[in-house]
This record gives sequence, C-alpha cells and structure tokens, in this order.
Amino acid sequence: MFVKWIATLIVAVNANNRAGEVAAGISFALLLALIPSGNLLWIALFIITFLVKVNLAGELLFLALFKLLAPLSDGLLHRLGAWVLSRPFLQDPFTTAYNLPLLPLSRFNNTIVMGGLIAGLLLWVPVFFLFRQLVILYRRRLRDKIAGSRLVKALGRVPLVASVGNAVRRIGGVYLSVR
Amino acid sequence: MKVPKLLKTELSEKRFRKKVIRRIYIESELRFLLGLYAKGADGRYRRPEQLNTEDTRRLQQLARSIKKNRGVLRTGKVSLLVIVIAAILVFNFVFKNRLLERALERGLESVFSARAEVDDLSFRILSGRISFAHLSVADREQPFRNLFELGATEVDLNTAELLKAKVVVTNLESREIGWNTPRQTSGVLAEDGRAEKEVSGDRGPRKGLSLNLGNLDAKALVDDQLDKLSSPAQISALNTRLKTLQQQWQLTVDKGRRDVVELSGRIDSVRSTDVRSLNTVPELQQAVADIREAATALGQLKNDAQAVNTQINAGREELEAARSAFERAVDADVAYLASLSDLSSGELRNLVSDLVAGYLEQTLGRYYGTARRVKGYADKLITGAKDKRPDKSRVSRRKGGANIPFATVVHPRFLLENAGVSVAGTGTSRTIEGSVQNVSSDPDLLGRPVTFAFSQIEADRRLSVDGVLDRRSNRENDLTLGVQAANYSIELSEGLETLGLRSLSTLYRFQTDFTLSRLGDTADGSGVLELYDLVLQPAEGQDMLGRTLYETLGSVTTVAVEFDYTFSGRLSKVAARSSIDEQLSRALKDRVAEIAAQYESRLREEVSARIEAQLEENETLYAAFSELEQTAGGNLADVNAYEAVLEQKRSEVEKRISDSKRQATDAVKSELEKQLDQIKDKVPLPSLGF
Repeated sequence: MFVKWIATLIVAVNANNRAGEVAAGISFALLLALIPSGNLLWIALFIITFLVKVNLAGELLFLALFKLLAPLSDGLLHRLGAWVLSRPFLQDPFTTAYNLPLLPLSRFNNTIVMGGLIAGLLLWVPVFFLFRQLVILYRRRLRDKIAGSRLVKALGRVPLVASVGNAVRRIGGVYLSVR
Repeated sequence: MKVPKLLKTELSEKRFRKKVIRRIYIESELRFLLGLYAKGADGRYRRPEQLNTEDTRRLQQLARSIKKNRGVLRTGKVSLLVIVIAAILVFNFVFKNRLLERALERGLESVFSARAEVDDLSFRILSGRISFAHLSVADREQPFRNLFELGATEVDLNTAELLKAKVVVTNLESREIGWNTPRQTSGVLAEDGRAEKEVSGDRGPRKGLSLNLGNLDAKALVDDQLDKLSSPAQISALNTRLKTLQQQWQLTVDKGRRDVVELSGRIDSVRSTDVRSLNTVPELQQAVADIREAATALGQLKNDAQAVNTQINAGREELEAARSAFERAVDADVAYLASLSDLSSGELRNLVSDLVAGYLEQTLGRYYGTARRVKGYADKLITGAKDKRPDKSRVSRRKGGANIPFATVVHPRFLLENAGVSVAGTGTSRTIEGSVQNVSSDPDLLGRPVTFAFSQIEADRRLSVDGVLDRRSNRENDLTLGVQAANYSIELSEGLETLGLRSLSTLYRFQTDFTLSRLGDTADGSGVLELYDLVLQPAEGQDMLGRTLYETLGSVTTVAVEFDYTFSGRLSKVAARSSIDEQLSRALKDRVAEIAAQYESRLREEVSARIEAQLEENETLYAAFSELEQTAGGNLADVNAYEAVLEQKRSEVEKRISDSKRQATDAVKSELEKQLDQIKDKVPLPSLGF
C-alpha cells in the first residue's frame, strides 16, 4: 500500500498535474494529523479531501507520517485549544455551536481538537505554498536531470526502488515510460 | 491513431493559451507543444496535420492530463456522493415510516421482552411529529394478553435531539388506552420461547381457619399424638398392678374361705348344742371344751382374715390412687390435645382482620408483582441505553486534551417528558385519565424520577393511582405508590367454608401508600380498608362460627381495617386490625368455649377409644378385685359371726353351769336343812337363858 502511495506520488510529481494538488494533499495531511481522529470534524475534513482534487496518495502517505509525529505536539495543541476555547468573546458562539445538532459531534470543545484545527488551518497555507514551490522547482530543475542520471538508473536496480519503479510504470503507464 | 479535439490542427491564440498552455505544468511538455504548434501571421497556432505515432500518443496523454486538471472538484466522486445522498433520501421517504415502525417495535420488545405491534405509523420530520393508529405490547407472562394498548396517538419529538441520536419525546397524547386486553396471537418473542411463570404476589387461596368443629379432626389428632399421651401407659400400669394384687391375694382369700367353711361345721355343732339339755357336769364340761376349741380355731382364723383384709384394703387404696392418677392423666392428655388445636380464640379475635388480610395479601401481592415488573422495565430501558452509550470521554488514542463544557441541556438517549391519555366515556360512563412524566434512559442525567398518575371513574366507582418511580443512583426508594379506591366491591366465596359462611360481598373504600425499597426488593406500606354494605350468606347447616360472624357483622354498618404489609420476594406479611375485632371477640368467646368443650369431649372419647381394651380389662380386673375384697370381707364377717355364736354359747353354757351350781347348792342346802331339822329334834341343844 505504501509502495503504491509512493509510486502514485512520484507519478503525480512528475506528471502534468497541478503542483498545488500535491501541496494541498500534504497540507490536508498535516491538518488531519494534527486533529485527533474519531470525531465528526476529522471525518468531514477527510471526506472533503476525497471530493476535491488533491493528491490522495501524497495525503495518505504524509498523513501516516505526520500521525506518528502529531502526539509530540499535543501539549502545544492543548494549550492553544484551551486558550481559544476560553476566550470570553468566543463563549457565546461556542455555546450556540455546542447546542446545535451534530456540531457537538465534531468535539470542537476538546482542547486538542480545537488546537489541532487552529494550528492545522494556520499551517495549511504556508505548507501548501512551500510544497507547491518545491514541486515546481523539482519539475523545473531536477525532473529531467534525475530521469536521465546514472544514479537513478543504478538505484532502479535496487529491489525496493525497482518495485516502486514498476508501480510507477503501471500507474503512470505510457505517459511516463516514453520520457 | 487520432489526436484529441482539444489539440486540433489549428487553435486560436486565446484558446491555445487559456485551454492548453495554462494547463501544462511540465517544462518539457510545454516545450514540446510550443515546438509542435507554430504561430501564424493571423495569430492562430497551427501544427502539422500528419504526426508520427509517438507525437500523437504524447498529445493524447497531454490532452487527457489537461482535461484532468480542470476545476478543483472530483466530479465523479461528487456525483457519486450526490447519488448516494439522493438514494438515502428516497429510501428514507419511501421506507421511513416502515423502518421507524420496526424500530419502535424492536425498542418496545427489548424493554418489555414481549411482542409489540405498531400500526400505521407516520413520521413528519420537519414538524417532529409521529402518529400511529394503534400500538400494543404483549404481556410477557400472559402471552395471549396485552400489557397495554394505545389507540390513536400523537408523539411530539425534539428533532434537534434526534440529530444527536437522542429520542426526546416532549409530549405523547393518546385518546384510547387499554390493558390486560386479549390478543389473537402469542406475545412471546421468538428468542424467548418460554413465558415466565407468574411472579406477582398471587399466592393462591388463603388457608382456611381451623375454627369449625367439623374441621377439627379429633381422631387424626389423637392418632398423631398417641405416642405423646400418658394415659394409655397409666391404664396399662394400673391393670398390671390389679393383676398382681389379684394374683397375690386370690389364694389367701380362697384359703380363708375354705377355713371359714371348714370352721362353720364346728360352729354349727356348737350352735346346735341345746344348753338346757346339759344337765350333768361332764356334759357341761364337754360343751365348754367344744366352745374353747372352736374359739381357739376361730381366733386364729380371725387374725388371718383381719390381716388379709387390712392388706387388701391397702391395695384397694393404692388402686384408687392409681385410678385417680389415670383420670388426671386423661384430663391432661385431653388438655394437651386441645391445646394443639388452639381453641383459645386468639385467632378468632382477629377473624375479620385475618380474613381481610388474606384478601389484601392477594391484592397487594399483585401490586407488588406489578411494581417489580415496572421496575424491571425501567431497568431494561436504562441498562439498554447504557450498553449502547459511546465513551464520550475518548477522543482518540491521544491523551492530554480536555473537554471544555459549554452550557447546554443534555438529554438522555431516550426521554419521554410527558405522556397523557384521556379516554372520555363514549357510550359508557367510564372516564380514564393518565399521565406519566420523565421516563428516561438516564435518570441520573435527567435528575428527576418518573412520576405518574392515573384515575378511572366509572359510574360511582373511583380509582386513582399516583406514584414516583426512581432509578437514580442517589434514590431512597425505588417506587412510592399511592392508591385510592372508592365504591368498589369485594366478593369472596372461596375459603369461607371454614368460617361457616358461603359468601361475603361488600363495598369498600381503600387507601394505601406503598413503598418499594431500594434495598432487598422489599415493599412495605400501610393503609385503610373501609368495608360497608356488608352482605353475608351463611353456609348450609348450623355452624356456630358462621352464625356468630353473620350476626356480628350484620349488626354493624361499617368495618374499618387498618393494615400494614411487607413483601419480600415470595414472602409476604400482612397485619390487619379491624374496628370490629373487639366486638367480634366478645361474641366469639362464648361460642368458642362451647366449641372447645365439645371438642374436648370428642378428644376424650377418642382417647378413651384408644385405651378401650385396657379400660375393659381394668373394669374386669377391678370387679374381680372387688369380689376378692368382698370375699375377704365376707370371711371376716363370717368369723365375727362365728365368734358371736361362740360367745353366745359360751354365755349360755356358763349360765347353765351357774344355774346348775346354784341348783346343786340349793338342793344340798335343802337336803342339809331337812336333815338338820331331823337331827335337831333328836339332839337337844343347850339353851342359853338370856
């Protein structure tokens, strides 16, 4: 599964896709990783990412990666969430939201959920632009060089890399194989 | 191989830049396109018409990727989602009512553990209103009867709470209600094939009071207690002693008799002696000697007879004492047997109270059984909800977060805020009103117990029940219930035979406060039952108790019975005190004494019957002993008579001797005087001359 995701991501980075799709996938992965799962908010965000054109393979791959690291930020997220949830001017909206149908199922009143949401949204934009730029730079500067380099060809003979390459060829089809 | 339309031979500059170039993100691909398409003088971009296979394939790939890069939404997945949502909505609209009907039936079945049916349910989502034409829930313990039925009913739901997966019924109104109604089909659930046995307080007919003489089985009682009676042993001992005495004295007395008979010859010989005929000294001497001999023999015999008589008399006294002891033993045995039947009138004193207590035990037992069932239903509602309740405190495996509470009204997963039923009499004079509030799956969360009230008025009969069912963790009691009834009737015909009554009917007013304790499943309470317009039918025959009851109860207009009761599991205890107890006690006291005397007499007869053989033997032995005693007495009497005879003869002989002596002396004297006179004439005697 991971091999497939890696392959799909490689295909996406090298194919004629918007760089923003990969970047958005990674940004969403960060957002979903920062928000604890098991609540309606996380599920809704996850469904949204399925409906919009983001790179799902990149999203899932990075989500798995970020999820491993997310607990390290729980203390920070808790403080951030607690600070937001305790702002006096936000009490009325939060109380209203809490009494609305379904919304409490988002567990927005949980400090880590709220902290994760705020942090994830705040980080979404810079992460998006960062990765978008990285993809663009890759495509402009490295893509063709890497594709023709001896190193890549040598690496292609390493079993793990070979399996990724095979997956890339299967996924990318002729489009990539001709280049 | 054909090139897609998007990358046709000639494109306008605007289209080429907006639709193609703008969607190419790979530098090499861009260079390839710009190398292929050349801008003409008219500003339009053109490519060669004939392309090699590789370029054609590359253009196809590019066209495909350009298409894919349009827009931000995945139209396929969005369409799929829309279709799924539409399907759900259509399915919901078409099958909503049926699904809800089944869900409601399943919910009721899980709570009441019996089949439930809901007909013609209609759910209006926007108004949050459910209505159904008919609802019935079977009685688990009587599968062919309904626990309750509702007619046309409307239910107002809190739709906002429905979205939170909570069923909050703000109001339920029904215009028809029925309970314990018959069913056409069995109400047993498929997975619960066996109906539980009745666990209510119906404990069968009350055991009759053993106060009727006809019911006092003296024979069986004596048979049962025979080993514990002392009189049979005493009569046996008495008979043994009689036999011993009989054997001991029979020979002695018989010998005495023979001696007496033997002596009688001598005595007769003495008696027959004609003393006057005894003229000579030898004859007299012989008579005296005979008398002396007979007297000597008689003296010996008399001593023996007296000794025997004295000892037989002592034996008789001993027997008399033993006989008295036996009679006392019989009295004691009869008293003991009578005491086992408790004819002390202690139970009779509370006869009416006991009679009512028996009725109350059954009636209140049913209330107790119903209360336990209601409690069980409430527990099922609560337990079922708790089992399904998600762990809200868990957000994910990550820890460290905290849930910030905001002001809100948190409802339980199920809440019935108010339900009311009102059945006005149509065609009948019956009016029913009932309501229940705060039925919830989480009473602790709700913070209020279930309250209910019910009243029924039919003609002049009134019944009202109100109560509080509390399943909160900090409750004091599980259930408190108040029941008031007026102008209802009691008709008893079973269990009255022992009281000498055939039937009893009365109107009554009833009031009780019933509490089902939190601990031990124990119910207790107290109340008052007021009986009036008593109608008694005496049993056939002349039963004293029945007559007394009939007369006493017939003489009062009202009987008030105060009662306390305790139910625990299958055990029950009802204590009642009636206003007529004292009066009835006095009236019964005399009758009971009469019954007791008759019973004791019967017991005495039964005890006597058990020792009849010994008694007969005793009579025989006693008669024999009396005969022996008489014989012994006769011997002594004969001896005494003989003694008298001898004494008389002795006197006669002595007199005869005395007379003979005097006659002889007189004769001698006369002869001497005669001879002296003769001599005096012949022999001169000196004279003294004075």
